[in-house]
Amino acid sequence: MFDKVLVVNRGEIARRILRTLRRLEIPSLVVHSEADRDMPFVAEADEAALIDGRPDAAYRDVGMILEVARGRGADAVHPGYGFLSENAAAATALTAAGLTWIGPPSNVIEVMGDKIRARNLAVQAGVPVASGSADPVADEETALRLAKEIGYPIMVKAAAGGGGMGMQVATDEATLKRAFLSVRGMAERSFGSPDVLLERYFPRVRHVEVQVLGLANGTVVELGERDCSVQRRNQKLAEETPAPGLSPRTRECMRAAAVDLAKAIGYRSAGTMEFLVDPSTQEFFFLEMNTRLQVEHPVTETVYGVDLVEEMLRIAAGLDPTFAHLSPAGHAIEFRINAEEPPLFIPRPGKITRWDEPRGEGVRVDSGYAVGCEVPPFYDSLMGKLIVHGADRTQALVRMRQALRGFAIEGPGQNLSFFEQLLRDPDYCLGDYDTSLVTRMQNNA
Amino acid sequence: MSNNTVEFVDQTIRDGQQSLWGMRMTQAQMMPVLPWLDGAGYRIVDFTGGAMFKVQTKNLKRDPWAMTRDVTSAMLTPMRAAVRTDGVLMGPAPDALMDLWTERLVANGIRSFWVFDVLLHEERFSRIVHLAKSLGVEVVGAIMFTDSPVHTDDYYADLARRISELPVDAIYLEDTAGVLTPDRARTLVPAVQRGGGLPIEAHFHNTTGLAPMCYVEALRAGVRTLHTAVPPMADRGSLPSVTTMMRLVGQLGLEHNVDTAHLEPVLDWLTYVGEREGFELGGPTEYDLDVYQHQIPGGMMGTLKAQLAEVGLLDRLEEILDETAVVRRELGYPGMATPLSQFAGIQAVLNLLTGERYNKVPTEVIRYVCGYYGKPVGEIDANVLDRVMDQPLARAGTGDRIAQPTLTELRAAHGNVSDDELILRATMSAEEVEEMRRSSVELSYPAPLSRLVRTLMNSGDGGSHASCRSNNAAAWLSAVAPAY
Repeated sequence: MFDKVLVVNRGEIARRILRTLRRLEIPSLVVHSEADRDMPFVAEADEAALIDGRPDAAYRDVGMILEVARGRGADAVHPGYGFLSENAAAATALTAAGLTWIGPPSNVIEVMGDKIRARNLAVQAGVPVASGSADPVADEETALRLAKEIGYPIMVKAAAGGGGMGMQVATDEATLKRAFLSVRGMAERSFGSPDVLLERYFPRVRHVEVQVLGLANGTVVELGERDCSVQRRNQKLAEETPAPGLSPRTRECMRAAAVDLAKAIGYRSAGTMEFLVDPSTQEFFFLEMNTRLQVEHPVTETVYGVDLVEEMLRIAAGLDPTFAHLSPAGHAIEFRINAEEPPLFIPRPGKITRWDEPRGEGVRVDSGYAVGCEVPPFYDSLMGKLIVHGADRTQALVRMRQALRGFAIEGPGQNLSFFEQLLRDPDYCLGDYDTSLVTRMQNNA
Repeated sequence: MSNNTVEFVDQTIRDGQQSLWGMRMTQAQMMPVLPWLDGAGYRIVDFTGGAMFKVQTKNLKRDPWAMTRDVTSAMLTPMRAAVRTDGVLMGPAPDALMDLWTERLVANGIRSFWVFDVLLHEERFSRIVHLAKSLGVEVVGAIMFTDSPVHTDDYYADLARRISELPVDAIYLEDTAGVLTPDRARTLVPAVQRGGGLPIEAHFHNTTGLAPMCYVEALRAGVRTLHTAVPPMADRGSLPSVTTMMRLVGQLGLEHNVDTAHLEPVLDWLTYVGEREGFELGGPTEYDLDVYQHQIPGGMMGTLKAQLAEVGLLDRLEEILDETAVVRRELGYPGMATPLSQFAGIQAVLNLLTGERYNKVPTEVIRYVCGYYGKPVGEIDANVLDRVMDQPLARAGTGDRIAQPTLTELRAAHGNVSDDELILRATMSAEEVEEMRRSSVELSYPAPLSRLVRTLMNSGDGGSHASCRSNNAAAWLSAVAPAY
């Protein structure tokens, strides 16, 4: 398939990709920083190249990465998630240098990375998006008129903003007037553009996503949905598939919508369509697309019995998938084990003095560290992922509870106690939760 | 003293000048008013704290300890200082230094403390209160009022209950930004009384013109200690005018022991100094709705304006205030008092100046978010939290703690210096302290010609007291100050 694949990532995802490469007998090469010298992924790769400089240069500096790829004879690059994985310019540069980018074409990365263009494409493909202003709202009168059409509550946000900061919720005309002026002023000062957008605001929302695979032959298949509503600071902590609490019709329509949009943009490789679901009405709306492998991909792999990394490699090489048809079975849950301490989830890096992983039927651990490794403060705090599979959700929860008891980590901080609390939470256990779950748990702590 | 008697705490030379003059009053400008304030019948004269120490050292180049000794020794009325339980200046200070700071303030003449910690970190607060009481001084525990959806009367009642479990003499209820309304005062004051069961000192900034009305409500609820300032250091962002409050106290059928004859010379002198220096003078306060958004404390507003003026950014004040309102909400409504209000203000300034919000996050904002200053009351915006937790200090896992050197280690680190000097060196840069030491400070301030003439006419001597000098203050005051 490939002579040598360069993995441009670190920690658990680098190890995860190396595992597939090893099974397929494809030679592997990793780049790494000085801080990561003693990490398992460096030892487990067939070849490793140190990139000096800032700790993230090894995983972000396209020029140096390209130099290593050329010097060591790699012909393909897998970016994993984060770092360069959604960097269209990096994909273009590496492809132009003759390497195969194990991911979607760079123009697709670029288009879907632009939220407004992605939203417009979704509309064109007939995929529902939350009602809101398509163009910037010029004045207060227009805002009030539009708000009547959209319906309160309304989210007021800077068109040029990012990261959701400075957004304000308006519940009626009076608060909308205030929020409009405030956000417009802030947008002008911070982003150099006074453009303001209005969107419908959902007080309760579930975050559900659909895994798609754009195959080499141009068709697109979906591999079910994942619920990712257990979040702290808008970042996922636990995921599961199938998503609980979805009506059969919502589930079916959302999955079809994901395929439609992926087809419309000519998607190739593994990708994820993210949606927001209003649990009270079961309406769903396109949020964004992640044009890469997702952290939580193992729950899908476990239920569908496929290796998504292998499928990505095959698609990149122009080969057919390993499966003729897909047959999901059971329920899978993933917990992200981070070097951080609840309830505030403060990062707590440190040297790992104990790392005992649980074993048992239906239990999988994807970890990036081992005893003696230092969790450095320079990167994401993810140390590993605990994934369980059961015949149904109840069995998966029971197995997760048992597995969690068998997990022991000492040295850095860790969030195992949060997951113990999560498994005691009635709403979580019943599958009746939304993105406010973690905040509610923190407030009750 | 009868329950009909209202006592006053003077804020002219502390919060008054901090709110209006950015704490830029020099010792030479301050000394002439001391005998008048001393004789006016105040229960306490508030005087100093970390902010004054910083401005005196860094901006006015005066040794703040020498000034503290000069001022406290010129007064019979007990002088008060602020102790924020987590730091001397903006940044946090180790426990050993906090204890030393408290002890040295007493050794230099302070007889009353208002102890505050916006989020009431119980271990730190309790340690300082117990230490201060063991030194034999008065201690009032402060509640810093801020208005937000999460700052309910029940929340303040609970703070009062927690403070009252410590050996404090009273509760000091401060409306830092002047956002208290008479309606809210009618429920807030009884809630704090109910929670704490202790006497209350009311300290409400008159930023919106409502503070005298709120004082009236507090008096009606049974509060008998009010914080005021003598004009021109009263009103606007400062405390209500003592003369206004004396009149209102009388109208409510209550009594007080302040002698108005002692206040006019203070007014005259500070008006003269303020006009001569181009400082803002207090005056009628205009109602302002924006204050309810940003809730910047009066004291901080004075300092902020002074700092912005120094770097030529005063024209962007309006934008900074708007951004502070947004940052305040995103940071989970930090109580708008030192240091949390400064954190919100500094973050707002950085958001504007760097052009990218939260692109640069100061260390203390990271510490606040990580819980070093106590548990934030409101919910911090998830995206902001994410940005902050991605900062190197948070990632390193040390955002919620600081190093705790012992006093011996601190002494070793700062050389063989006195404890007073050690506190300066541990809280400010060596450069700042050394520059202060090198600078010579004018301890005299030119008296106005009219006063000079009047002095000469009244005293009939050769006019050798035309300026005020701390080291011959007694001589100068013999001509212009009342005898008592």
